[in-house]
Amino acid sequence: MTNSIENLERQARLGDTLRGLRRDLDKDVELLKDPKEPLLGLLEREDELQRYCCDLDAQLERVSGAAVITLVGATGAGKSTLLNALVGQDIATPGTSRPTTTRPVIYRPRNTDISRLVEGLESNPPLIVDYTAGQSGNLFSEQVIIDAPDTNSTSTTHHEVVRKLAERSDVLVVVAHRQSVAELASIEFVDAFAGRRDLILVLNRADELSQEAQSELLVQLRNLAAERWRSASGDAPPVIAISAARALLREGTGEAVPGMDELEERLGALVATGRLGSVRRHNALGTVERVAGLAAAIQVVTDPELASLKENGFLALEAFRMRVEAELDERLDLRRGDLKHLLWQETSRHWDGPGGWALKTGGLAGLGVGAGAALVRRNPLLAAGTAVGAFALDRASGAIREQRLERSSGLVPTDLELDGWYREEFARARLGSQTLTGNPEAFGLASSESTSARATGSIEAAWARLLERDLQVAASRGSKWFFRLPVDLPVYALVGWVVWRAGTELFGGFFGVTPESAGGGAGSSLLINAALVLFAWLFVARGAVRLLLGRLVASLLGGVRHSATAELERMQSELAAAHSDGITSRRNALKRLAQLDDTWRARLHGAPTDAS
Amino acid sequence: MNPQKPVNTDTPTGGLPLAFRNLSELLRPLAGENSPTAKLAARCLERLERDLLPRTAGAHEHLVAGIVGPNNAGKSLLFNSLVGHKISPSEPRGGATRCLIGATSAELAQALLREPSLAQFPLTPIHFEGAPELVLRAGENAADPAELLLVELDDFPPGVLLIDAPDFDSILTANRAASESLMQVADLALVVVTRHTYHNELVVRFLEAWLRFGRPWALIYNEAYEDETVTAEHAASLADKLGTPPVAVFTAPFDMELQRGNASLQPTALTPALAPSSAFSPAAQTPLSQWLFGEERKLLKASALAASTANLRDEVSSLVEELRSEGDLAARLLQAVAGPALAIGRDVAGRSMPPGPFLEAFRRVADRRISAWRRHLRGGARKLRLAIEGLSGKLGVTKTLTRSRHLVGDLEAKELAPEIGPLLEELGRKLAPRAEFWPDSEAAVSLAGRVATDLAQAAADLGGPLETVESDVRLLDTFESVCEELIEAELDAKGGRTGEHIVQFGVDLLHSLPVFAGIGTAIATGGLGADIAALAAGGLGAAMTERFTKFLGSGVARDARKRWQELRGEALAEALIARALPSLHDELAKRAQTRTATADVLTATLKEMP
Repeated sequence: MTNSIENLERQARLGDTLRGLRRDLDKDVELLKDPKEPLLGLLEREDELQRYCCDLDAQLERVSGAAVITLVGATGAGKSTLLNALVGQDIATPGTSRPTTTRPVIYRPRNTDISRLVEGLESNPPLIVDYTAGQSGNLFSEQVIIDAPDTNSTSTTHHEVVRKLAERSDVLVVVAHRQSVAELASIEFVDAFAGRRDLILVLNRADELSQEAQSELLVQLRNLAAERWRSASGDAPPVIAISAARALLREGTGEAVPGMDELEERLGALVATGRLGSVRRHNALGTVERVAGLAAAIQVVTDPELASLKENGFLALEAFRMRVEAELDERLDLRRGDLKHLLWQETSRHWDGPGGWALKTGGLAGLGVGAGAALVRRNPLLAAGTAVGAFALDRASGAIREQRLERSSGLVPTDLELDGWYREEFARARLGSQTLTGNPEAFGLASSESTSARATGSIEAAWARLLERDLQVAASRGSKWFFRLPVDLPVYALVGWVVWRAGTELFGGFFGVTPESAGGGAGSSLLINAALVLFAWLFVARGAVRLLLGRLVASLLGGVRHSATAELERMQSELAAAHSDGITSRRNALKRLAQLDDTWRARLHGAPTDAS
Repeated sequence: MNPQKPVNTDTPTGGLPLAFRNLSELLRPLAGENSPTAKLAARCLERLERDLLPRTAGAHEHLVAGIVGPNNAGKSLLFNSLVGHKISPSEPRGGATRCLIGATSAELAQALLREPSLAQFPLTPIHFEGAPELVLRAGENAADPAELLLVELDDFPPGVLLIDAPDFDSILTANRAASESLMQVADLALVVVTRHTYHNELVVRFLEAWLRFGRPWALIYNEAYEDETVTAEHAASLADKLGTPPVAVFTAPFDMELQRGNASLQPTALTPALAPSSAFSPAAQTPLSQWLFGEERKLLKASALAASTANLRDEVSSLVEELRSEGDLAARLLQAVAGPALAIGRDVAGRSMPPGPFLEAFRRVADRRISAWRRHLRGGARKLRLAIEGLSGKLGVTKTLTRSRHLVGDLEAKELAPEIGPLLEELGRKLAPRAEFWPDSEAAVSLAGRVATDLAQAAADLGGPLETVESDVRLLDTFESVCEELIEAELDAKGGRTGEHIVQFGVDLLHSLPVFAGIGTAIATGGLGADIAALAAGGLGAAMTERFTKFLGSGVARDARKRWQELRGEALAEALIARALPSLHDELAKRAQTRTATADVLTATLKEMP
């Protein structure tokens, strides 16, 4: 009793391990089948994979159920006769016309649940025969044994039925006659289950074979067993020659029939402690080996493609960034003049004084006002007109320029340009991705819109940073006191001197200073001359300051370039990382699947074995 | 002694042989191609050349009887029993025979060496002297499953070539080809089955494929049950599956002695009442050897010819079907590719439309609608302008400006380059091997593979330069005349008298402006820069002409662009397709055209066949 409880516990633990492994397998498969970017190589063989996964699920489900043994084989191999001989009753009806058995016969311990076993067999409803454990001697106490239809006749529905039954069994007894040993259809049927099911090969109708024929056919079967049908443990399945018909005849006489004892022993051993668990573990391993083989086959083709896709994606990102940067460089060079103006404007805002006003004033206005001052002696009206006209013109052009400067659009390549570059540079990567997954934007390959938007964003951000920060810094640096003083002081001095001269002229009497002693008569000509000198000085000084500020422009442009480039590089590395992650995760999943059998073997080996 | 001796085609005229010859002429070019239909055509051609033509051209009397059957059914045992010597390897485990072995009388053997219908086999004639090494040569040491070991026997009945074949249903899949090629030449098939194998799927499928057109076959039911009715029942069920009854049924009981090699297999005829009756049915208990080597064989041969002809008819019909479906597929494929390519081609054409023809057309239409003197005046002004423009070139100061038509092509190539990737993407999506697009046929599979290769090739060449699409000068001329029509129609519809007066005045001004500019500059500077001034004013004129067309309404320009897209889009699309399917495009076009035509001719020939 304790024995069987321990047994149950062991089976439960084995079940847990298997379920955990199964979940891992599912995770990898799900990743590779991701509906947005599935690996087409896997989808192509999805049916096969699905079959093995379903098989694993079914094996897990019945991990604690009764052992199921199914007799399979070519038509006329004598499966029904063998069942009758094993059971000792005429429960299956052998016949002469091929194919004979259409309805499978299920021989089961009373009250065993076989609902899953007979699911979907409505077209060929099985004949169910119950037995009481112990009734048939020591052989059948807990096993379900099934006589299945043939695997190779023209009745193709039979093949479906036998396939379903074999999928739901633990052990397949492959029954052969001498014309089916090397027959392609029969061999291919066994091929589909080798490794996934425990096999026992039976050469039936031994009574119809000469001694020589029997031994030759046994060799042939043994070769097949060793070359094609080894189990997950590496053992070749046993081969037994039997005459089921003779065994049935001698039933009850106690006379031994060659081979029959061996077969009964092997089948009977299944209920012995631990034997069934070990069979099931090997079956599961065999199934997993199939999955691994399938994954390895896909990996051989897909892995190099994935690697080259990764490389192409990187190259595309790199080339795209380089093109954007090259274009940015060119455009920045073109904007140099505009930026200078902007800097002058900004500096003048920080510069309270005549120098600042001069800096703000455009060349046209300056010259116009200067010309006005020069003309004022001849024709004051014309002079005023010139000055005002020039000033107005200057302001207008300044306003236009400023408006243009506020926008960064001049720096950003157009959407059409960006799209064109994207198309050219990403074409190869997109095609690679499409071939692999059917989706040109799989594995983190960004779309044209999003890539372009990010590139545009990078440049716009750099320009905004320039306007909001760098320009202010440069302007405040350009309007430091040691620039302002040399420009403004002479102006103040001249103005002071003119005021003083005018003062002495008007109120000189009070202070005893005569205009003569102060250096000549003041008057309109003095004022005009002073204004001319003032303008000339400011014009020269303005030029010098502008020259100095021009030096700062280069570093401002460098700043824009630098921050845009940094942002673009960040974009590149982020997209590359997403791309690389997508591909690496697939490659790893595929690799894990290809090595699935080793993983399972290691885990199951470590798991508590009930065979020990 | 040359087995490749050409068939003498002079002797019989008209009727079947003529139809055969016509068919073979039609099929020969098809069979030479590299496509799956070629395989079918080659098979038909082979049947014609190696079977039907030789058979109808000469007057061979001999009967070819081929033994086929599943693994370990006793074929070689039967062969050895009929021959009377152990020639074919016969072993208990089955599958011992690995090539074709023929037994014949000495005189027939000589004739057979020249027999064209056997030319497809590597023939190895051997005189039998009871040497056991023969068995080794036909067994596991056999070099080539298609080889026919022709054994001459002194005591073999005349006029019969009996051939033993390897099995066709075992894991040695190479053996199957030997059985297939035997079935191509056999006048009579001796089908050996056993009580356990007569209903095997592989057996029934193989026999059905070869026998259903009425080729005569005899069933040899080996290892039969004692009860004859059971055997008869099984024979009837097999005949039912194959759709053609056997000419005779022979049975041999299960006998352990046969396995031990102590007895020979001697099948005897089934009771006639139980067997399906035919003209050739033997009397009950007639031994197979007596029936086979008897007189019926001539009749059997005629029956075999009819069967083979029926077979050919069927093969040609399926070839016709295949040709049609292949033609359809090629056409659909071209259409699927042409759609997106044309859309892109038109788009690019629209973007890179040359403005010259339109302006020229406008000028011409404007000229046509005025009085003669005004036209002459304009012509003169134009000539003067051209003369001034050409002045510096003539003086050798500058190079003459050439308005290259290639400029259009270059622009197009530049615009096309980034479109190739998206086109390939779309094609990849549309023509993916897994898509619904492909029918489930061998031709489609191979074509799908080639499309995939081509697309991959195009994808690999992505970075390469796109050749400039040569534009035909006539195309620009056509476009010009199209533009003329459009502008004329628009002027008629919209211009009205006043409107047209303004336009015409503007055109006068445009013509005189460059001349005045040129002359004025020449007077002011003494000739220097006159050409430049004229050119500049001409350019201004061109720009203004474009403004004038605005007056006519943007509809004209849009229409002109549309027409240009129609005219040019196709050529660009073709360039794109040539790039996307580099190796396949021409072939597809040819295929779409010729396949259906060939199919029609073949159908007509079949109808006329007697």
